[in-house]
Amino acid sequence: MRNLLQQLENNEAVLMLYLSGELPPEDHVEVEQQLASDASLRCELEALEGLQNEFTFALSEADNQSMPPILQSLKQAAAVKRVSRALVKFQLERPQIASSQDIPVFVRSLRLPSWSYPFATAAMILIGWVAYWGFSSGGPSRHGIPEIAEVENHRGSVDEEEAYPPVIVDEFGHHRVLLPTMGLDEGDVNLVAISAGSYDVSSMFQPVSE
Amino acid sequence: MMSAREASANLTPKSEPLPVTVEPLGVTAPSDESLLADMRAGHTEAGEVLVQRYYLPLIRYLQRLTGSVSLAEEMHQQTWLSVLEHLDKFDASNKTGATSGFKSWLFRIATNKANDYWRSNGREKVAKQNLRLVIDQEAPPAESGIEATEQSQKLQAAIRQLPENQRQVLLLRYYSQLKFVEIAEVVGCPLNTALGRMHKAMLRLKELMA
Repeated sequence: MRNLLQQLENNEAVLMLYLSGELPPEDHVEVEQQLASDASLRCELEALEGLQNEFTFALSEADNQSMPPILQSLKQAAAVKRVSRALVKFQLERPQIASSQDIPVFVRSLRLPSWSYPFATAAMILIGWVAYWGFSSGGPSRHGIPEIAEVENHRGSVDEEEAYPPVIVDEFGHHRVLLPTMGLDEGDVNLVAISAGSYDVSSMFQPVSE
Repeated sequence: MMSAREASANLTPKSEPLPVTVEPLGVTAPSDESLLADMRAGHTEAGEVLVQRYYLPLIRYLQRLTGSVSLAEEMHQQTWLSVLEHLDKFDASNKTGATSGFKSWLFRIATNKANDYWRSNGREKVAKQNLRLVIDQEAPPAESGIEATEQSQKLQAAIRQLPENQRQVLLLRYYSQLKFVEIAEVVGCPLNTALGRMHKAMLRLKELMA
């Protein structure tokens, strides 16, 4: 800071720092010596000081008149309250911010490597195709897998070509539908049909004219 | 002929405090830095003390800078919210003054808020500034609700007519009482420029007030 005086461009700059007491002690002494020997510099200093005092006085007067002290203190209390509310809110949100920042790190660690995505896509397509094939075909029995549904011990006539599940007319002239279910026998070799029961659906049919 | 000592005694500014001063730190008053540390630890009371301590200089600085009470209040709140947001980033050790690191930082944030406002409203400002000046000379600002004196209005109008950069330096010097070196840092210019702006601003104010 010793060479601050050399850095300053003009007298006003030097004198303003001198007036505000911001010059280093050595520079301060040097300015004092110059002031003692230079009358025009002293005039300059007086003018500058007068200017500063004038400005300071005008602003302080304006500030004092701008608002009565009681209103000023009320406003101050309100402002402090507002900011302190914000401070409390901020402090409350702080841990949440910290924890929310942790989540992406955790999620990121669970991500699969990039090379696995094509395999995953292919697997999904395969699963989808198998599911579609299974459901749209009405079950595996239509595609070469041994027939699992057989009508057992039913009485009456049945037109095997016409209906699936078969509809029969029993001895009482009622239309009945036999619903089979699927299952495996104990040997797990042959699929057998198990009749789930017969259901009277006569009400759904018009009487067959003989 | 005065001696150098006498000359400096006469010309050195009196040690009277300016009307708007930051509350002096007594023996028991905690420093800004310790209050900041408490705030970081989650003590909201420390924040309230800081807000209270800087309320008057900061709000009056913003009022003079923006020329609007409501805008100043909004910016005051925004400034403190920014302080809270960047609390962890503030490092007092790299600031120029040991005791005014926080104050310097606080006023820098406030100045930046005002700059951001003027930037975003630049177009409107240019169009309305002249009209506003004319209106202000006719009647006191309605939002203050207080009838300001003619001198006070004249001063406010004169301050508004100063170029933005001069106005900032002038008001920072008066309200924050930062050193010129710190003011230069706050507004982001060399020390000589800050001193030059201060001098020009005072001369211009005198001219406008005459």
